[in-house]
Amino acid sequence: MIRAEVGRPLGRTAFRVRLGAVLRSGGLLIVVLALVKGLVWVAVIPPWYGPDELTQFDYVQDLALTGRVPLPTSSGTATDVSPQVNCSMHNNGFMSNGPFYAQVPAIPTIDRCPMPPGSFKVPARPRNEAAAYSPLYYVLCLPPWVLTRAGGVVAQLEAMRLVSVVLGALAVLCTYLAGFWAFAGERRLTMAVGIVVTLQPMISQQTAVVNNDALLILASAAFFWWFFRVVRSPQGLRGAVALGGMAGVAYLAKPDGALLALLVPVALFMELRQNGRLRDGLGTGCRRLLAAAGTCLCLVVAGLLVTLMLGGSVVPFAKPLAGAGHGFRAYLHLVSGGGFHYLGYLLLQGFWGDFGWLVVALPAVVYGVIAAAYLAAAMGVTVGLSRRALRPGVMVGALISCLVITLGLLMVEAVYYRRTGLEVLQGRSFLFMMPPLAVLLVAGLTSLVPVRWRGVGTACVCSAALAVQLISWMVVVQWVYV
Amino acid sequence: MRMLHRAVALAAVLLVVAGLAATAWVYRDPERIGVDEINYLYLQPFTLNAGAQVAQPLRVEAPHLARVAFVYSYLGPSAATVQVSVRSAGRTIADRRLRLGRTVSPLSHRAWWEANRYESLAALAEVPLESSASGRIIVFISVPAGDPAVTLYWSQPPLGALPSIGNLHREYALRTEYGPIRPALTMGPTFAGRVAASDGGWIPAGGLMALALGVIILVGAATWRMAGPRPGPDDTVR
Repeated sequence: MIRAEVGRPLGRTAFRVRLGAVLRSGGLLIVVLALVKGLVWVAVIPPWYGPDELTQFDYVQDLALTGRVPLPTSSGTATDVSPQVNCSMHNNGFMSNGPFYAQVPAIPTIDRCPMPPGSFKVPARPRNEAAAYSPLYYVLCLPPWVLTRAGGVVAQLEAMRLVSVVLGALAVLCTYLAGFWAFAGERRLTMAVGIVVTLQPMISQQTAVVNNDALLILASAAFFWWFFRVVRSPQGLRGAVALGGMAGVAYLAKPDGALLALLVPVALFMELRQNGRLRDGLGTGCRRLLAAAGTCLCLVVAGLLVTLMLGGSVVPFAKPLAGAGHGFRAYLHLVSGGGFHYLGYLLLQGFWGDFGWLVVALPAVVYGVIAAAYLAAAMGVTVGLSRRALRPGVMVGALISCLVITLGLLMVEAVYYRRTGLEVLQGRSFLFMMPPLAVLLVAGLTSLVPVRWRGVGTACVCSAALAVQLISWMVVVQWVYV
Repeated sequence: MRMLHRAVALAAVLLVVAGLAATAWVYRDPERIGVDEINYLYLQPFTLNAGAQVAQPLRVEAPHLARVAFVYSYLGPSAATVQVSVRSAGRTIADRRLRLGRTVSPLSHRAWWEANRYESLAALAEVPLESSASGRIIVFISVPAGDPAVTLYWSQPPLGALPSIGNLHREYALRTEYGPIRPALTMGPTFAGRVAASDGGWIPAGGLMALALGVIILVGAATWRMAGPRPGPDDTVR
């Protein structure tokens, strides 16, 4: 039973959570919201217009037809695409030699191609630009691919998108649970965290198209559920195993997820610290860390073995394209140039609104408001900590999580840039840090509101999230369907 | 007191919805735009200096040609000016001096997203036409002598496009827009119908609008639950 307010330290046995209670307290409402919103996004984004959706779809198709993971593309080769998919893309205006680059699909194109009859005969080992990823997400998409085969490629694509919608709804539930532990079960803040993540526009997009980002977002949300659980209340070996397991699943979903493993020691350190066992708990901490690492490694090795058995590669990244390498200094110049414009693009524009293949963006004023919200939240967290209204462990944990993921991804890109001179990150690469970011945003913004009006404050945060979501719909619809 | 808080919370949601509805009422959309006109992925900027002029033929694809629009950017200290004239079959159907605002301001209210890939600096300038046209029109854009230069955009001609005058390899980033021009808000059912009629449209237009409304109602319900006095036993999960 929980009767803790924000900021009040919890006893060691304070939490005894039942899923039914969590759902009744608002979790169910947020899951329904995520599903409904997901359907809107599925409908609004035209077929094939999700980022990398063609290669992701083809991965599943290759897996279904050959029973093997496709080969990675190399210099001079591209993803092998079936005639049916090519025709569908053309009819939706998605071809370099078709109307896509100039036109959106709502207007009937001049020459629709007839769908080629018969089934697609794939090459023995088709090539795919997404082949470096493990097949974990793509295996989940196999059932809808098979079940809707008679309906054609667009029906298959739409059915596979629903897998992402379900993963997104589960991610929202896990985020709700993360907020639940971060805020000691305080319902209003917990709901606000769930709603902010649900209505984040880029998460909305990535969990409504065929993309392994959806699984990474779910694995990350589950990781942070356990992260805050461990930080708030001792979980022992179970917590360490859960954290390691989630980090392993995140890695298998997308290699970027490996950065979550770096946060496991942080959580275990905080767990020991809050128990006052830092001095004599070194052995315990090491044992838990080993358990986490062992679980993570077991899962990753098992996943990679399955990948190898299916003919895939264990190298987590695609072979770098040929390009002139640049030094780290050049990368620093890229990141810091133009008043840190590149970082602004990644962490604001690309992170909050950069839709579809044509990177349709939100109006500039929205990014300005979001940047102001970041600053206000930072100020609010400072105020909340100084007034002892926020738990330092939770806030520090969330902040470290965001920093580790951000800096980790930038370092990976720096290495890649050094070898190839190419930028590989996009704003959506950072989406899996949304749960701790939402905790910081909600905690910070509501700390600026007088305690009596905090409920209204959380409601206003949710209204702002709704505004960003609605503007995103307007922008995408305006762009695609005029 | 609890009711007051809930009323304020609900008002915040309604304010958001009303504000966006008002914006969508002010912003006006054409019924449709031309096909295969702007190649957004490969837009290239070029500078149009004072005294210089570009000309671009465009095919009129439908009745009720109401506007032409072009992509531009301008980073100067104040607004820029261009002279735009549109001719059809020897007669002038628009001849306007347009004032182009700066495109760098992050607080710009303009609908600039069309070419945002290019550093968020481009905007779409619209030129209303005095009368409709058919067949082919030619758009002339020039910068008056003494005025600051403006950046326009060009790209490789997309499939089926007409070549530009004076430069066979450049297709200036212009598009035709067909009427009636009306508030974007009233286009809602049209947009929903287009979504439903698209290749991936398995949700009927009415269902789609109901889902969108459902999102707003669910968020409203959540804020209703959230609003209230200080957290007590009822406000924590047990």
